[in-house]
Amino acid sequence: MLQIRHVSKRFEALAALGDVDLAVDRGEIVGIVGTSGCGKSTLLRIVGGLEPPSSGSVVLDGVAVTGPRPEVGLVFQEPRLMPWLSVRANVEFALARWPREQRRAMAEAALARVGLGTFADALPQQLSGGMAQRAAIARALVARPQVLLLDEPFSALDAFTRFTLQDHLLDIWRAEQPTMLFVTHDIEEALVLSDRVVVMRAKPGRIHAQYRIDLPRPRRRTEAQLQAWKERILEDLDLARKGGGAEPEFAI
Amino acid sequence: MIPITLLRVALGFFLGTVAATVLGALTGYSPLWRRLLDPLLQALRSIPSIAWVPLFVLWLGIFEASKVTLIAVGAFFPVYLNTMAGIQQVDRKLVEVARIHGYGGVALVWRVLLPAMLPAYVTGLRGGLGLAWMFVVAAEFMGASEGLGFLLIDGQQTGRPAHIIAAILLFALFGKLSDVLLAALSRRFVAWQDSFESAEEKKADAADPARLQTV
Repeated sequence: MLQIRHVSKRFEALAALGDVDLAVDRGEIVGIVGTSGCGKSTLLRIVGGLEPPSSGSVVLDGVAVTGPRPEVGLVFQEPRLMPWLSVRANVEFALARWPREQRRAMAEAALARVGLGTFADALPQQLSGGMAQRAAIARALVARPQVLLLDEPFSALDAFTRFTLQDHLLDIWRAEQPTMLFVTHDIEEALVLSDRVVVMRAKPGRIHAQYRIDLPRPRRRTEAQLQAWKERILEDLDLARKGGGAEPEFAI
Repeated sequence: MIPITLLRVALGFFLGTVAATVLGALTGYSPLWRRLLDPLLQALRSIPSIAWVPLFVLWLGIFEASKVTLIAVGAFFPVYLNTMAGIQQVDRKLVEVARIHGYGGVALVWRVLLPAMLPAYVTGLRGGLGLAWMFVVAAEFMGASEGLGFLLIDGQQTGRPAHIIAAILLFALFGKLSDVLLAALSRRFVAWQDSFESAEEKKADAADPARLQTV
């Protein structure tokens, strides 16, 4: 349903992305991992219509993406809530195209789904980091986008909050089945969540390898198979410790 | 004596603020307008206020028009600078969120740029009002027959320091009152700020339960 066709991006002399080709099926969860500077966030911004590609195109359900689209929701690394709006009003912010009288109920339903029902009237400054990010997810989901893009959505959170929100995201996915494309530098996160993990490498940004993770969900983070995949991806990224030994403890 | 001074300040402040808001919004929003207008306005800003007096008297006469114009010039610059800076400093990341959700043009200004710039704008308004009070004295020195500034001159010429001190105290009183009023009016628009000041106020509230109850 989502096709990224030979997309490249140059920032003046710098080639951020060179010829990326990727097709994502409806309802599929695709995790993109890579070291910093490999262009994975740029790719997501192009898919979201925030930046035009230098060449190539992004096609969603047969229509070329030329700008932000209501069918596409985006969660950033930071919550990016409007500090002057209540949590509810922040979620309603995404409903400008909906009839006014439906907005409130939709926003409250979306907040309830992320477990923030009782915080609808709070201001963003009163929320913890994890709660603020959940509110941002509610805002991205409230308009029922077919595609949800997530740009390192949990990277600014502590490990425990991150695990909770990862499970949470899977619950939402089970309920609504949006197509999800997310960028992360946490290989384990990609392995726990994704149907497919795409490994990108830099200079210029390109897809180096893809792995289909055909394990049933929910997956245990300690599962042996996941560890084997993690090892291979670390090797792809030249980050595996050479000559065996202990499991490398990397958070890139 | 007092009502005419209040009226001049209010009118001058209003006109200066309107002009400053329009021009500040233009230069803050559009780089092209900023390049066209801002250098000229910055140059005008460095002209001492008194230097305008002879020109305004010649052009606008000795009566109200020249006085109100001088006050408007005084109120203009703080409001202009803060409006422009307030818009320029709006977080690009929030603008991006708005674009993702299909906001552009008027909707973007109304839902994001305007609320985000309000704290800076209020700072500008308070600065502008303060300068309006400064400039009303200069204005009333140029041939007024009534007003607090006239009272200062008159007190000097007739040797009555009590009049001068009374006028000075009234300036202090009205300046402070009008600022408190403006701050109170704007409070609900800027209450969302997660700043050092609001944190300190919360601490003070927590430390003083009696104050909390009155809030």
